[in-house]
Amino acid sequence: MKLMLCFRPVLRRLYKQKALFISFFLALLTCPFTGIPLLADEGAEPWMAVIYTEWPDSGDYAKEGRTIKAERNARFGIDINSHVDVTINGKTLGRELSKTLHGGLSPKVKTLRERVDQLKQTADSINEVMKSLKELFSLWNKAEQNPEMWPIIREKIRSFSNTMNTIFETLEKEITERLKAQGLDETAAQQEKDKIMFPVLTNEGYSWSVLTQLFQQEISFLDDELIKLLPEIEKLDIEIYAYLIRESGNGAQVPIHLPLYNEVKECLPTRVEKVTFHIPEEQMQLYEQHTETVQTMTEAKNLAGALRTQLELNARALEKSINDSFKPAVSAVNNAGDSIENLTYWTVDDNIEAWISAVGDDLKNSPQGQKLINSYRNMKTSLIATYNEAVINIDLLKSYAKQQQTFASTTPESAMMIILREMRRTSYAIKAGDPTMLLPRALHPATWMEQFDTIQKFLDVVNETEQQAPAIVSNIEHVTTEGRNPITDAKNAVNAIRFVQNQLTGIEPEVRSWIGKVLGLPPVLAAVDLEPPATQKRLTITRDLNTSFDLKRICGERKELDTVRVYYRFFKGSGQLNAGWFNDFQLRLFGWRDDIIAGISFANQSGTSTFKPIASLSWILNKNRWPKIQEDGKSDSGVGEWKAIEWFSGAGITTMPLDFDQNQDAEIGFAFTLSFINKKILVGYGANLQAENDPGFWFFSINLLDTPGMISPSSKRNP
Amino acid sequence: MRILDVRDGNKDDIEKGQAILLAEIAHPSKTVMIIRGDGPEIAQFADAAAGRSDPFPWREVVWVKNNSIFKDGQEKRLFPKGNDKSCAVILDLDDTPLVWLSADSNPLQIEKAFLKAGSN
Repeated sequence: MKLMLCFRPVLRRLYKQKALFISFFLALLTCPFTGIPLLADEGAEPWMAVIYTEWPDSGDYAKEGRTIKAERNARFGIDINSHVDVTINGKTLGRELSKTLHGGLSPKVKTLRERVDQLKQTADSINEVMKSLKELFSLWNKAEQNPEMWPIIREKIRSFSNTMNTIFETLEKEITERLKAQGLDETAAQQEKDKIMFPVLTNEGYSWSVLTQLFQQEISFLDDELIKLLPEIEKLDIEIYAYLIRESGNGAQVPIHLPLYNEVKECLPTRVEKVTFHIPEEQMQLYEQHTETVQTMTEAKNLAGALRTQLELNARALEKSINDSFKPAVSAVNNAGDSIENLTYWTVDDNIEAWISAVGDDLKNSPQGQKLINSYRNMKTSLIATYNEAVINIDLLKSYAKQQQTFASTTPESAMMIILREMRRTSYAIKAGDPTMLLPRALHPATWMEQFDTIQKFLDVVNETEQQAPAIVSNIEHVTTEGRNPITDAKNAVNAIRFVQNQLTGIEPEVRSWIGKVLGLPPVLAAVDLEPPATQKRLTITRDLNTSFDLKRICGERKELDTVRVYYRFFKGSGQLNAGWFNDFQLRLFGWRDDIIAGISFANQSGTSTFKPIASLSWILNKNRWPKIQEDGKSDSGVGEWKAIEWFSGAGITTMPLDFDQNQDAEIGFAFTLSFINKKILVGYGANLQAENDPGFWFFSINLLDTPGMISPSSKRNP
Repeated sequence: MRILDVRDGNKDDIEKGQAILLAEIAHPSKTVMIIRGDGPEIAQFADAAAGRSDPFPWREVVWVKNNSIFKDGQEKRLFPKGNDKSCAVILDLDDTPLVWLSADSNPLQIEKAFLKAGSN
């Protein structure tokens, strides 16, 4: 666990770099697919007029909604049980569309446009200046320990002050001009302008939201003036339409009802349940394949051997599909095995304890470090309590309602079904406030939610520490015991695993979607440029243009990772303007969710050194964080790109058939489980329900590929 | 904000005050505002100046209530002819006096003065 925690900063850095690459790659791909021109006329940005508000039916944004600013051909993640309001500012739309109209424009129109563009450009720099201010604070903290940094700081202060100066001057100039145009004399206009500007200054520095609002207000005033001078705007029409597009590519695209714009039928609302306690068919199929595969595998003599086998298994799964390209992957796997072998040093408690106490002195010297220690202690206490409780619960389960017999005479998948059924029952009973339910706490979903939150809180402190006091993290990286450092070892191992994944990526088109799934990439939509539905209407842009769409009322099944694509097209008479765009809304499951994961695990019985390959089924509860809204009102995209990959990705229960006791026919293992890297790695500790002595065992499982047919080339593949 | 004053011509106060003023000016990455004089109007200005300096560690306000703290000629160098009626001066990052302010300056003017000194 301790070791795993060290990976997080490394992964985040890797994911950040990856996110840039992926964004660039997708940007290249998107345009040829859509047929929409790369650049609109004369820098027109009509999407600036559109703001979406997502209203999920539960969770962080259920009451106040989540605001998303439209961007050209951008992709956003929204909750699968939400509806979205589309608010369109007619004035902004008119101003931007006017840029696409050719013909003689008066000098006054040109001047007004230049002023708007200047304001927009300056307002855009607010984001940058916010970032540079944050960076400046962070550097200042570092520089107090490192005087050689002062020259860098001075340059940063100059750059920040310059930009901030420009922001103030541009805004003040516009406000003053407007006030003078409204009839105020120079002195009165200056005084009034100061009054308007004062709320920007706060005790914390600046109110970025007030500053942004003031820019928007001035742009809006200029838009009013501009619209008066552009009567042609009244002749422009807008067309908005939307479709649900399946991630699987199967089935026709489903048109979506947009009030005012079409008469597409809506259906009765449906809700997608996120915590289902249900084993999906594909995972059951995968479990069966794993059961066959483990028959052909031999036990590993130590942890390193088991880890190496796990990776080889994942790579070998692709052998049939990518025959010729397979060699680099094999070589990468071998290298990864070597790197991972180093990690076994950190599975020895004494080694970790020695390193932790060396780090402790470093941490105690700073408040943030102390916070980290406290948080770690809380987590450790909570985890130990949970583990103890899990052991007690396992004992309770043995005696509970004759289930011992049920477990003794059944398979792990049936055991998992029993557990899931009990959890579902408990969940309903808790919802219904039924006090007669006296099941062990391990079967209360709330127990797992508590555990998840405790671990997540600790990780948040680690994260915060890295941002606020990077010196602490950097120092920890230099603390070694016996010349070794777990962070360095972990970095090497993670890089090695990443390298394996990269080798497996994009080798063969037919495995691309699987690999995309493995790496957590958003699927690239097939080339679609859909025509409007039959009942489509065009509206003049000077009227009320707001609309909405409700995911819950789409006629047809919707699934995670499906996409709603909203198209915008503009017309002057029968001619289409070169100003259209689309936005994609990927359907996501935010908040609590559960997953059943079939895997091949390596289990190690207490007191032995060998690792046995075993097919396993895990129920993992996870909280997929809602996208954050930043200080400037911009929202994270919410799309599951690299940056959205969760290092710690859930906690739950694993069942597996054990074969530790020669005297027992059937042995069921029941383990407390933690999952990492989007549930690709599972680690757990539990008990053999049938063992009389030494019931404890621990296991790990690496599942880079989790689609039926990808694992186990020796067993049957899906057609 | 650092407030420097002298109790009944106390030499020790003067020396300590001078040392503090020099140290603040000598900081490698700070824009320093020096306020001089005393009285309700100055106090109100100092309050507003502190409000625009406190959020940023690279801004410092030193209020010199008693001008005996200034070393010989220092006050004249800080408030040269043309700005000799000003109640405050801001030094840029290279410690050069750059912006002068009167006591009736409002927070927005103070903010812009700090930004100007910071960008020089």
